[in-house]
Amino acid sequence: MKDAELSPNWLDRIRARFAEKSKPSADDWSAALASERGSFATFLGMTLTDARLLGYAIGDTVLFVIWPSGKITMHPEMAAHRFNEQPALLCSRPGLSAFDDTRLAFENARFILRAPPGGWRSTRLVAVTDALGEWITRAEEPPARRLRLEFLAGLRTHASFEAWTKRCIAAGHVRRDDCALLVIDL
Amino acid sequence: MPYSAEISRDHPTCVLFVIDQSGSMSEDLDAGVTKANFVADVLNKSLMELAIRCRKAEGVLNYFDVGVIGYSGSGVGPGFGGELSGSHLCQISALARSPVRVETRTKRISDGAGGLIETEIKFPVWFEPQASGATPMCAALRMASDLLADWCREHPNSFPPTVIHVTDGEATDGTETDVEAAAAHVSGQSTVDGNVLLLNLHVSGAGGEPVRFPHTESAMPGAYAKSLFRTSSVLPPEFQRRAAEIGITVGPESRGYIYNGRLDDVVTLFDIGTRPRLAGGDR
Repeated sequence: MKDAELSPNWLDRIRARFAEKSKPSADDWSAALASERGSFATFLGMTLTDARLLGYAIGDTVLFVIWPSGKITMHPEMAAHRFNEQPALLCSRPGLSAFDDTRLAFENARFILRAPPGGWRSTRLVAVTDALGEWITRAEEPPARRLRLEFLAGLRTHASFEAWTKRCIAAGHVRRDDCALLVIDL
Repeated sequence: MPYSAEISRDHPTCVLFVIDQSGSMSEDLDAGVTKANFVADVLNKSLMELAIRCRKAEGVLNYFDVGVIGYSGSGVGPGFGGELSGSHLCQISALARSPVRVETRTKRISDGAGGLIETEIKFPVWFEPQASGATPMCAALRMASDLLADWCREHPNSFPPTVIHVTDGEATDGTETDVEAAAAHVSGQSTVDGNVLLLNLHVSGAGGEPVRFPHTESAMPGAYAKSLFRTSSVLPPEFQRRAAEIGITVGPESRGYIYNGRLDDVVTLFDIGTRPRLAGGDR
């Protein structure tokens, strides 16, 4: 859902849309009960202006930034083992998320990155969900981590990405878990 | 490490319930609640929870095979009713499609302001309470062993099956030695990930202190209780984790066994037996 405003209000709207689209049939008891309990998801949202990148990261989705200087940063910072834990996730039903106060959770999940002196050009953003986050952060040394990020960014088609993840999961190199990848070259 | 296989659609696991339906199961477990009725309710709820955990946008996915064996004066046989009648084991998607009926029950839930409100919930029923005659426990365990031998052959790389056995009395078709031998055949079946896990629940409404997840035979009162202890599996770390999730502390030598169990104990043992962690991408 494209929306310039990232906030719990955004979440309320997308929840309403999800509820409308996934309304279970009355005679499907398992769909009805599953719907009552809600679906859980991690969340990463970003808005980018010339001056800054405002992001929200909830759960176990993280953003890697490869800056024009070559430096790599991770937002939020997470050690590899943290991706193996049960993350606190947002729920499709209000009141069932893993937070007492979703508005506060959004506030705590916020990060701001200032644009480099020469602007965003030549900055690469790599957003990944849990299994890929774990794979990247297992490489603790910056050169090794860079290699993994550059490799993922080089997978330019969905087919090549899917084939690689299947192969790695089967070989045990990547954990069997959600694999999502978004690469933005600025 | 044993008991570490991921549970996925490619490698499902199996949960088999073996339920005593002898005459004494018609006695009260608590005031106004018979053992048979309560066990049937918890069993149906456990099946429902398993099915909901497998429910994804595309439907109920097959992470589990499930089955029920009942034993009573009428003999030993599969316990599902309705369309599944006669099936010993079925995929969880088939189970979800085929309850005998879906009841509407009322449940009290928090109103978010410190009070309780009643709400209606769907409650599918696959297994009906029954209680009559003798206790052919040995025959039931032999049937379980045969079924699981086939299942393990067909799923050699899966997390091994879990058997939840509920009884309130002693076998009428064999001695304690016979029961132990039949149970040893059950837990002797295995996949590459480990042996079948046999959890025993002895229910009683007659008083006496419950013994929960014992780690030593000497803690058990009497020969019958000791015999069931010996047949119960040591809980592997995965089951210790499940116990911790519901606030139960068990040690590394604890057995999957509750003697003289009460209402809460039925819920606890079924919960621990049916809370496997699905592979991450399959959650």
